[in-house]
Amino acid sequence: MDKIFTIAKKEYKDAVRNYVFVTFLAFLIVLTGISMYVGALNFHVKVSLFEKTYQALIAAGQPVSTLTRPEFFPLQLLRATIEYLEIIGAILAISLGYLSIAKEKGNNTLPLIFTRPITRKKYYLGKLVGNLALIVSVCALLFITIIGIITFVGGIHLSSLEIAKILLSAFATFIYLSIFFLFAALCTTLMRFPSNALILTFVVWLFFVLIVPQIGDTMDTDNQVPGGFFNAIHIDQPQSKIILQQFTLYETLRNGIEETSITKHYERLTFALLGIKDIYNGKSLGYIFLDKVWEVLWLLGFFFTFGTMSLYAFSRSKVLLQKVE
Amino acid sequence: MKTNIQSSVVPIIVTQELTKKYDNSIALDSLCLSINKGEIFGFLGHNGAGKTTTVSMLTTLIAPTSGSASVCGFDTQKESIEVQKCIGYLPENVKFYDSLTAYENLEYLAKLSGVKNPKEKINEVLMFLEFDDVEKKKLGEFSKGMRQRIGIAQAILHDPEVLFLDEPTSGLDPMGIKNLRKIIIKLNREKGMTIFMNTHLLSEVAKTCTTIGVLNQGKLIYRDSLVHTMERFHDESSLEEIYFTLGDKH
Amino acid sequence: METTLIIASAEIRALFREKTIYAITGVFLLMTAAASFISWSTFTTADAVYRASVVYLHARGVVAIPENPLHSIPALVSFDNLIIYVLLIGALLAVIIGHRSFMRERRSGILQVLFTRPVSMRSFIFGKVLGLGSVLLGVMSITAIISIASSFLLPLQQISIEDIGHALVFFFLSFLYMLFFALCGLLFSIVVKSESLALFIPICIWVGITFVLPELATGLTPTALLNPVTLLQLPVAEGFFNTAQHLLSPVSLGWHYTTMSGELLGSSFRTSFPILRVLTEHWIEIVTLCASIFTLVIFSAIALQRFDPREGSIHE
Repeated sequence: MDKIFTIAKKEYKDAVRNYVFVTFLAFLIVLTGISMYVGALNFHVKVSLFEKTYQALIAAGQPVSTLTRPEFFPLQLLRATIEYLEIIGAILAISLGYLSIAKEKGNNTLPLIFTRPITRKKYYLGKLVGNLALIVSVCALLFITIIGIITFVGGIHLSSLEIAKILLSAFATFIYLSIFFLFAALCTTLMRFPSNALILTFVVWLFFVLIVPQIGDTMDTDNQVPGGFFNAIHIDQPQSKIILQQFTLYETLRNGIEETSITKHYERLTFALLGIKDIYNGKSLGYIFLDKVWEVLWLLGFFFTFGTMSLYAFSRSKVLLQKVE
Repeated sequence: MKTNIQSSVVPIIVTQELTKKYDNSIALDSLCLSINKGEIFGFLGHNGAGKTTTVSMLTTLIAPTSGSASVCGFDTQKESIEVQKCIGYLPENVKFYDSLTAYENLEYLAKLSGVKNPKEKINEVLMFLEFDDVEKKKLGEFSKGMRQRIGIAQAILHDPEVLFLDEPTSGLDPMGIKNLRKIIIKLNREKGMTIFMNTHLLSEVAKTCTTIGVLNQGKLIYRDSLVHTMERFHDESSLEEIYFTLGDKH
Repeated sequence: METTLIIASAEIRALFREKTIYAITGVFLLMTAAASFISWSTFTTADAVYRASVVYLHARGVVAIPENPLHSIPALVSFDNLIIYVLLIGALLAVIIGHRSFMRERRSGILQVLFTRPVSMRSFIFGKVLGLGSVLLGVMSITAIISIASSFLLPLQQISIEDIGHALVFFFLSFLYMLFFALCGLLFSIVVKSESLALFIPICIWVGITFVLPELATGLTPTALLNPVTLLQLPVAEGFFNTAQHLLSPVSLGWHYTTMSGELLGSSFRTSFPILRVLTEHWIEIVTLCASIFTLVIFSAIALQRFDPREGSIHE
């Protein structure tokens, strides 16, 4: 246990002293700030547009009952931040996972470790504890910044339920980022040349973080015509559902493609928690959990699968000690 | 400079038919070797002869395809943790953790070796190696010779019985080589450490080692004490000539 | 000139021997082919959904059934996804190609040998740019062939010669956009000593251009802006976003690329604009892109003049 702690501490120190990591983290924090600012501005623009329309209708003597005043939900400001975490947060986690193994390979330090009285499994566990602690710190830093911006800059009082929802989103982010960390560590462990592992991880990242969610959207029949396909042929939503029942195979395929993307699961869960998806706004934690249990299971499933696989790979891998030059 | 031979007849490294195969090639072929406690063993051979493969198996890094090896009386396969407790290893071209200072590197590795009072031990080892004021320096600021001394320091922090060195003089200048030689002999004399050194620098072997072994294409073709070797090949003027004579015979 | 060509051909050969480049190019080309298939299957399904809707509405006694809205979709709609793939995969591929191009030289330590030969820094950098450009042009040409061929094999609408002209202009625009990122990768691999930082900076620029600038200028979320349809149907900017759009316009290369491509392929209005109209309406943006490319080449040449070949080895 003592040794695991020593390794974890060293891993943590190693990353914190890496200025690329620190710069990347700063970049992510700046993006969070920008996104929240843009989100707030966007709301102001909506409100002023509402005011203008409202005044114009009043002046013209028109009824104003059809207009709904935009309502402000502070947690919805996190939407862009979540999207940045999906994309850039994943890159950060990949870099950590990659560097954690690649550095040892490049510096030829593994023979120093593996000839000491510590098992490979224990050594990897130490690395895991250190890096996961680092990801926890990153999430804590980001989400505390978010709470700080909302409370002190925005002057908005957050209820305990809202804070709990933010903290749960932070936890979901931790799991999401850890999955990418573990995947990168797994690839770097298994492949002889770390740079090839990095590229493979990036290709996977590109595919599942950016491409697959886009494919799901593109394949939505309703998105084929501006303003909605069904709208164009005067069919309302309940009717469209009846018609689409004849195309279950296609719809299953479309959903199936989306299901493979871990990003989509993370997004669905956090968007529900933060009320970014309107139907979950103001709902209790129990309700959201029950409705999104599938997403939670997917995230945890990926986390434990990659965790176990990388631990197993590190204990057994023969290429770890092969020279990379 | 000849070393003070402290070696006894207690074998500390023993291999029996030790073999390592990679796909279709044989890296090490049925090595039978016995090295006594207190020897400074120079393992000679050209590049790719199988020296690093041998050390990797003796230091528990890789498993043999067949045969067995024991270090300090422990089987390298079945009792690897015990073996690891009694050995120190300096691989070739190790770069350490460049984000950590020299001291932090040593502290980390000492703790992983199970050293109880790392701080005291590090100071003791640094003093032994005649190193001062290096604790806070980053490894990036070190010369190759200084790095190599840190490499030795990490390998002896836990007072191992056997020290494995893989091409320790690689990339060092003449002064660095001289200093390293001094350290190796001092470790052998003062701490009674058995030293297993892979090298292809014959002049160094002649000045440092008590016993030599020559490996050629995975096979051990010669093993004897340096003194006997020089007597046996009295026609040859240097170890270099002996090495080539041996090579030609095989 | 001869030296430039020798360096360019060495560059092309080296890039073609890199597994990494193959992997990403492979994904890019695969996605190009997949994009056509996805569009075709979606269109075919949407068409079937229309026919099913007609039956449904008839059964409910509806007589006035609107025309199939899919018929007004322009022929090049299947290229829509390519815009996203160029923004994401293409630009990243370009960054990596550019980064590797000079890092390879630094790692090998060959620069000291090279610069003791009668090779001018200028011909070296032009050779590199020519090599990078040729590879990217090659990749884009294969993409063009795959996309155009599959739009004949899996047709959504009749494709005219004019449509192919639009597609070719779009592919050339994509090539220029990717060249910009390749040169970013090249420049920072000369300027920055640390290998990972040299890759990290152009990736940050990519994130900035692809996600952050459009977000600042429109207030929409990062991934929503990848879609040309969203960008081309933006409401009129108000307040801050109006100012931001004006201020950030010169550097919003990604946004301009998406807008122009959308107009060329007819993504938003479901009818493409004439090439000349797109080019004249967006001449400032096109000039900006070309000027950025030119500036990066000049900066790379200057950086190389200052580069000490003895410091070629990699720092981390």
